Amino acid sequence: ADAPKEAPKDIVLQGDAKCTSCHDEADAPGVLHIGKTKHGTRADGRTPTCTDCHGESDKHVTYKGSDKPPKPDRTFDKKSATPVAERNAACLSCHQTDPKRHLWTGSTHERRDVACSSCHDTHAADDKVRDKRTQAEVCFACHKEQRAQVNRPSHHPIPEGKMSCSDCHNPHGTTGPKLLVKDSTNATCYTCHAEKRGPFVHNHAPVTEDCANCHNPHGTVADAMLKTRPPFLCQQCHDPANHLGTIPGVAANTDLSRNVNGTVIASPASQNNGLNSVGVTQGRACLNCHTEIHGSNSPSASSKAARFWR
Amino acid sequence: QEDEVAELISPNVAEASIRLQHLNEVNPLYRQYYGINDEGIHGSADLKVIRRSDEGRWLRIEGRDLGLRTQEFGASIEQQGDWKLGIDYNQIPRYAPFEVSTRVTGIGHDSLNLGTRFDDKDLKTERTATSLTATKFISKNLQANVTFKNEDKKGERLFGSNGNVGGYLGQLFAPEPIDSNHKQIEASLDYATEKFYVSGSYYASFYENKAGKGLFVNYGTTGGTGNPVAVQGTPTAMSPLSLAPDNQMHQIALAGGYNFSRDTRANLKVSKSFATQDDSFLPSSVVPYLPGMTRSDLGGKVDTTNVFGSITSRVTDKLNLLASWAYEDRDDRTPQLDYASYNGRILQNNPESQTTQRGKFEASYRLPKGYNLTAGYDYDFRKYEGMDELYRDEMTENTYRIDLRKSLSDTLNGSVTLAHSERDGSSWGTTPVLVKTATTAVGEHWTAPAQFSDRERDKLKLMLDWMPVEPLSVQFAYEYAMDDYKTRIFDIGLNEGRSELFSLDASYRINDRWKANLWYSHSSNDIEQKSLNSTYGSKCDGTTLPYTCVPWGADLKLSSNGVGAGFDGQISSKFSVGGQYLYSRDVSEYDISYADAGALSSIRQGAGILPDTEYTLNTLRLFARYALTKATAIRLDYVWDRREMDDYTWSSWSYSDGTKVFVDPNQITRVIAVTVSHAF
Repeated sequence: ADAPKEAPKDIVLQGDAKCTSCHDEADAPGVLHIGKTKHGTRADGRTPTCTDCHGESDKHVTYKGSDKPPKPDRTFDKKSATPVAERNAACLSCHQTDPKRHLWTGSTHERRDVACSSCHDTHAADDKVRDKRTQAEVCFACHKEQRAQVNRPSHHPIPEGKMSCSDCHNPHGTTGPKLLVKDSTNATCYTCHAEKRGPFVHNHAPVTEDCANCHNPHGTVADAMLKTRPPFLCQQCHDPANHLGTIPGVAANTDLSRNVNGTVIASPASQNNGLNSVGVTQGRACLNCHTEIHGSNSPSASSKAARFWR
Repeated sequence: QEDEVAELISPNVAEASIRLQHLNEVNPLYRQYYGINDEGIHGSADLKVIRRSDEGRWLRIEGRDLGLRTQEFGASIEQQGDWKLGIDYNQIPRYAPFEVSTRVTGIGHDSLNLGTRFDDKDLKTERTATSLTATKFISKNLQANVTFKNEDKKGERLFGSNGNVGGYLGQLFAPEPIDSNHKQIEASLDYATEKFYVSGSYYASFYENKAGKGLFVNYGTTGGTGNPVAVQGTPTAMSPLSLAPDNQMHQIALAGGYNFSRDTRANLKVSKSFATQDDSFLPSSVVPYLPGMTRSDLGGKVDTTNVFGSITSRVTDKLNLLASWAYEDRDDRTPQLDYASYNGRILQNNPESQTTQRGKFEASYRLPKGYNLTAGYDYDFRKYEGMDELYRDEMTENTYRIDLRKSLSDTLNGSVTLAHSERDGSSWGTTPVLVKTATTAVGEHWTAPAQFSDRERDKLKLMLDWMPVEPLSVQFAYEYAMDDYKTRIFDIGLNEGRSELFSLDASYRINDRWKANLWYSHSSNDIEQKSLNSTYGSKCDGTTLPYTCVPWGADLKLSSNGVGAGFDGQISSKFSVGGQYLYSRDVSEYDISYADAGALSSIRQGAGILPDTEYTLNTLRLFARYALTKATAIRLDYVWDRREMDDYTWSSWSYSDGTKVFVDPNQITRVIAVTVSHAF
């Protein structure tokens, strides 16, 4: 008589033999490399087994036909027929208690039917979205506008792999706007740009209110990630009084005989780009003189300080 | 076979690699964040060690770019599910994307002088950050986390000053010295069960500027002698320039969440932060104070309260509701004091308090055939206090949106979102002054500042995800937005804004060994705004040339195109190759128009004629990796990077002190790298 068939042994997770007896190292898609991950750390009693995430999948397991068996109860690939909420429930059954995922329910991504598996590869040791050099590629799969912006000349070092989207955003839900990691835009920016926090002797209202009034942190064609070049940006708020409404011009073709306030400069020797319409257009434009645009702590008894000159 | 399986399931790695890369030349646009500022050969090393014991203890040691200015190092030890200790070190350099020729000396210090010889200078900053993290599961449900981050930033960056002395009239090249330290600590205690969670946290930030309190610009006659713009003791209207003061912030927060049922969950978070800025000023001998001023620092104090609450409920299998509300009260409690006198008016510091409220209500309903319909309402409210220059006290924006998506996959998924916003505010506190008769200004209160103007915004977003056959995935996205601003008078300020985005992505898995992807996107932005060109003290009545003001408008257009392509493949089990190509081009046009005022035109000849600015990026990256043995591999990398910049910012421009800034319009960087890696 035949010897009794030996029951298949678990390979990675407790009880995984139900799956790994077929899905071995030769199978595709490979499943065993989950062993390289925290999900595959058997010493941690919290780690799941295959069926915790994929369901008991009895029809899949017991199928005897020669063609493709029916899919497991829960699948996570892009063509999955499992509703997103059900897929995510499999992850949240453990991860709902993670401090950074408390606010997943109600977050923009949850409300827009984004699946955990849309971004994460739970079977891989190197999850692309958890490596700051490759994370942005994952986010750009949906956020196309930001993909274009990070390639503009003024940008945070995201394409260079020195910053990632999650430095500023928590895609799992936050109390701040735009899934920012802190309660407000400014509070988020101050984690790296604390010198802008102030308060100052002379505060600049749009700065105090929201850095994004003037900056687009994903990247722009203007220096310092300004949404629009000065003087145009400044002219969107400031009255055309005095030289503030000056029509911009460049040194190559502008009459330099008047200063930035429109007054004729008497001495040609003192004519200079800097004090002409060129002075609000080239170099740092308006910021050539209004250096302290984020606010100044100068106690000087001079209106120059109030105008962010010093 | 057992060995093969063991290898497949073991995370253990011990790998080191040495990399030699050769740059053909240093190009400012490329070097910006890559941190290599010398052409030639540069060596670096990577290191990766991962060990997991049978008891679930992890050891991770990882180093990247070791030896370069971009180097990173991290190490952690963790008993999974119990505790974790980690340290991370990260260096982020930033070089200015241009080259400077200047005779200014003392760059990087708080006192600048004018030398006699022009030298090439690079402006750069470098951040070095070290983080320590500790996590401990005190019990199955109770977790403690502590993070401490120390970051230094050093270098210098473009700043500015204006002068009219010693023969130097106009803008002066005055780089800001950067030498600061920022310490942050974050600690939390989280208790979480399936039913509820409670979290208490503390966050603190300490910023210290070690570069000094002021920047002295001592540009006199050549050589730095005679009639300087400013030295200590003889300040001018422009110098010293104040540098950022030290500041501190402490925040405590309490958060909680509760699952009323499987379908209903509520969250609440309350936090309070206390920020202070009481760095002492420069002495009054250096920056003359207003007579009688007694303070030696601002005494800045801002208390901020944040409250966030949300509730979600799946009322039925098909209907899902969300309501959330966020409140912020930024209370600037800085005492007000007289700081300056101007035209007989005393100017004080301007504490700025504001209250923000963001509300959201959303209902999602699952329709037959996998369709999902969401209707939402967003409420945004801001209230300002104590800001003399502001024109409105309150702003309210209401947004109505609807979203239809097909959430179940077949071969085609898609979504369409429409949103309409209306923003307006309380009555304007001032009335536009049509003609100013004094010697000061024309057109006061004409502009509705961007964040205070009435605005209507419409948005459309369309996404399609198509998988016609198993290995091919195609995605199409279209976005359109239109802003219509209401101006105060003569259409001064922002009038309109439009943006459009079209994007197509495709990825193809040729087989298990080869895959490729391709994307294209086109976007355009268009801003229309108006202003008025006047001269100082003009009455704008057209009686004489100085009194003639000219209305003008600008149509600012940005057009961007991007293409990306990539492939990865395995020629054999030992030999893999890959490549990426990126093309990005941004073209900005500045279409300025104004009426011809004839002989009484105050418009300078040539003003309003701005050349287009263009930036083109072409990057090709190729690699080939060959496994010499099971443990040793050699990898070749080739990067060809071309950046073309046609931008008027620095062209034909020089600072009054003679400093010139150059941007090479055509920069090509070639990098060839050889990496040898060995697994131990």
